[in-house]
Parts: sequence; C-alpha cells; structure tokens
Amino acid sequence: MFRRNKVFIPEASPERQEYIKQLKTRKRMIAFCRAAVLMIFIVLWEVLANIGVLDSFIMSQPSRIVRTFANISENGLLHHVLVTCYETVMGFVLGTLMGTGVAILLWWSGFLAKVSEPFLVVLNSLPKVALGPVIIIWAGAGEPAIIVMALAISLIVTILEMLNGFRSTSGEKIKMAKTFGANKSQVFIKIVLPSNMHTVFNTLKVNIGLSLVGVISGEFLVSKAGLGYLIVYGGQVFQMDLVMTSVLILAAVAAVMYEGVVLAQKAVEKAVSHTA
Amino acid sequence: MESILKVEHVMQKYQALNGEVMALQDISFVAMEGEFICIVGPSGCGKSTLLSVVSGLEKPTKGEVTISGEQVWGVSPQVGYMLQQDNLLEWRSIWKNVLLGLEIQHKLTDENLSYAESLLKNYGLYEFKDKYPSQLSGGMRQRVSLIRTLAVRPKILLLDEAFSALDFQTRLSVTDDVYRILKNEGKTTLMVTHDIPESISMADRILVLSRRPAVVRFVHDITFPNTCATPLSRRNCPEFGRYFNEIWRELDVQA
Repeated sequence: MFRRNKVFIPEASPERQEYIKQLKTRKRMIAFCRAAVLMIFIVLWEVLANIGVLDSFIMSQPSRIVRTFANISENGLLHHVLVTCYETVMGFVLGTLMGTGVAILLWWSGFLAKVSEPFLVVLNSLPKVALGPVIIIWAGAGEPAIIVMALAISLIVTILEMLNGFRSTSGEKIKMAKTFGANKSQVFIKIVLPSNMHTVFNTLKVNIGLSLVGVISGEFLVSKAGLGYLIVYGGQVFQMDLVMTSVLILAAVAAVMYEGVVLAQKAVEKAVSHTA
Repeated sequence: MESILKVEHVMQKYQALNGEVMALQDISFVAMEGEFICIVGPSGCGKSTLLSVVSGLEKPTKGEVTISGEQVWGVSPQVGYMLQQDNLLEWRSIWKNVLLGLEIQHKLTDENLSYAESLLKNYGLYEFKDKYPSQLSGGMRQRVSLIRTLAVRPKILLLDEAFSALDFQTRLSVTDDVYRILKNEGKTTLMVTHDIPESISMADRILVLSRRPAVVRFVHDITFPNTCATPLSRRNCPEFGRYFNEIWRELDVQA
C-alpha cells in the first residue's frame, strides 16, 4: 500500500483561526455588499420604470437592455462590439509600443528629455478631442482616424508614466551595475526595466481606459460602426435601450481587457522570477 | 609584498551652477597586495569620491591611479566595489544575483560558475541559492553582495560604508565574516567608513583624511598581537583603545 507524503502543517492556534475567520467574513461581506448595491440599483431601476416613475423611453430599463442584448445576432450588435474592440486593441498596442519606445529614448538621452519636456507637458494638457477634425483630415474619415485618436490620447501619458518610472530607478542599483562595467543598454535591460515592471503594467492598465476613450471619441466624430457609433445613433433616434446596452458592453469590454493585463502581469512576473 | 595600487596626487573638482567644489585636493598613497586599508575622515570630506576615482567610475581632475602598474581608464575589472546598501535585485534569485557581474562582463564560463558556487558553499549560503533576497536576513544579504563582488575575481576590493545599513549586532558579526572572507581570498581592500572602531578592528593601515578638500592628514599602521586576529577579538585588546583615542583626537581637531 502506498502512502503519499504529506507536508506537515502545524495546527493554527484558536486566536489565529479566529483572525483568519474574521478576514474571510470581511472579504465575503465586501463581495456581498458590492453585489447587493448592484442588485438594488437594477431592481430599483426596473421597478421604478415599471410603475412609471421613470420614463423607460428616456431612461430605458434593465429588462429592455437584456432583450436588446439577447437579440445581439439580429441587431448587428456583435459586429459593432468587434469593431470597437479591434480599434481599441490597435490603439492600445500602438500607444504602448510607441510610448515605451519614446520613453526609452528620452531615458537614454537626458538632452533629448530636456528638449522635449515643455512639448510633452503642453501635449499632455491639451484635450486631444480638439485634434479630432485635424486627425480626420490627415488620416481619413474612417478606422485609421479612430485608431490615431486612441493613440493620441494614450501616447503622451504612456511616455510620461514610463519615463517617470525609468527615472525613479534606484541610483544605487544603477551605480552597482556600473561598478561591474555595465554599459547603458545593460543598465536598462538588467536594472531599469525589471525594476519598473509594475510601472509598465500600471501604465498598460491606464492605457486600456485611455484607448477606449480615444476610440469612442473617434467613433462619435467619424464612424460607420462601433459602440461609439451606436451610442450616437441610439441617442439621435431615441433608442435608449441601444445606448444603455452599448454603454454596459463598453464597461464589460474595459473590464475584460483590464483583467487581461492583470493576467499578463502575473504571467510575466512568474516568468521573470523563474528565469531570473 | 608588492604594491598593487598607487594613488598619486589625485585632485577632484566638481563644477556646479553655484560654483566649484573641490572634493579632493591632493591624495597620494600606495596599497600593498593583500593589505586592508581603511579611510576615515569627517562627514562629506570626499571619502566616497576617492573610491569612485579609484574604481574608475570618475576620472580625476588631476593625478592618476594605477593598478598593477597600469593606469586606470574607466571602470576596471580588477576592481570590485561594494556599496553601502546590498543592492540585491529582488526579482533575481540569490544565485542569479551572484552571477550579475559575470553576466555584465560576459564571463559566464564553467570555471567562473564553479568559483561562484564555491564562494557560496564556503561562506554558508549555498543552500539559499534558489531563495530570493527578501527571504534572507540583512547580514546574509550583505554576504551575498560581497560574494557577487568577489565572483568577478577583482584584485582590489572597495567597500564604501558597506556595513552602515546594518544594525549594530549584525554589523559586528558581518564584519567578522567579511574580514575572514577577504583574508581567505587574499584581496587588497580599501574601505571607507565613518566608524572608527570598525576601521581599527579590520585595518592593517588607516588613512585619516582632512576636511574637504581632502588630503591624507595622518596614517596609522595598525598592529595587534597574534591573539587578536579577528575584528571581534581586536576590540578586546588594550591597543584598541589607544588607536581609538589617537584617531578620535585627530578627527576632533579637524571638526
């Protein structure tokens, strides 16, 4: 008969068990309260719309949103969702790659960083939606303009966030690497980049939101498909069910992409700690 | 013993917006092979600047540094430099931390890997090689940092207040360990410290620097009887107090 080796775990003291129990209870309570707030909001919305306190023509109502969503294959909603997702991913990837590239360049050259500083500050403060008409003329009235809009919104933030992270790397650690004769690229690859993995992923998380803002703004201005287009169209023809459904899907898309980055972060951290 | 390090008339000036700062005025000394030299001096007198110049991280305004007869131009692989903090990289295992210098210098040969492994084994850290820095005590981290520096086989080791981040008890024990390691490995060591007892407990020679701009004001050859062979035992020898009083007085005069 085989006996499996078991890891010996000492039994926790009653005080520790009580402490863990309290932690779990608190965690459950938080999750329950979150769900309860959402449920109360939905039920209240539905009931108030049913008894006529809220005008469902203007405010829509949860059951109508569910019906709209259930007909997703018939009303072409899926196509619009996919268009928005594609544009967002493109804007996100381009913004991240270009922003990171420029941030590395500016970290590399202190002179370039100084030269570009006032331009970056002004561009960061500028409402990028104001560039919409210019972007449409330059990139054409269609998908490219929307992607450029997403890029415009996320690029400067990416550059500034990444650059701040790179610059805040411990000077002592950099000096330590230099004492071994590390050149600038070795300092970046072995010290600066791994030290800033959290900055990179925090920037990616912010970028998802910004890319979505850019895409929806772009779709508001110029588009024939996408959730932004649907929201504008729904608003113009008073199909509030469509508008609300689009907004909810947008929230879901943002949440899914955010979780994607969180998963990527965990995978990268695991890989780095295994290979390092 | 042969001389391995020569510092000749080194002057170091820094230019800043608010003026010129002369950190080192005229520093000259020679270190013999295997010698342990401590540099003490008032706060901000330029002790760390001197180490940066010796390591090649900074080019002196005047004067020159030669190691084994060759003038130092830039960072020399013959010099190992251990800073105040252990600066272990938290995302790397202990083994990978130890190999950092070899990776940077493209010296990951079988011979060097087995040397690094032997250092870990000899100094009681081999069983922790797959752990991460956060899993080690302050003293162990400092020893890993020293092994990382030794793994590239420098001829000269520079220690810049290398134990000042440790609590007093750990510091005493680490001082003992590091001294033993350095003597075993036969390394020439140049250590900057503001701690007079620490310098007396470890050094063969102590250089007392003046206030900025620094010059070598006093030199003490430290000798103890054979019964006081380790840093901890030196602290209990009668000579220890005498050295302390002399150096203290010299530093006090300058303050």
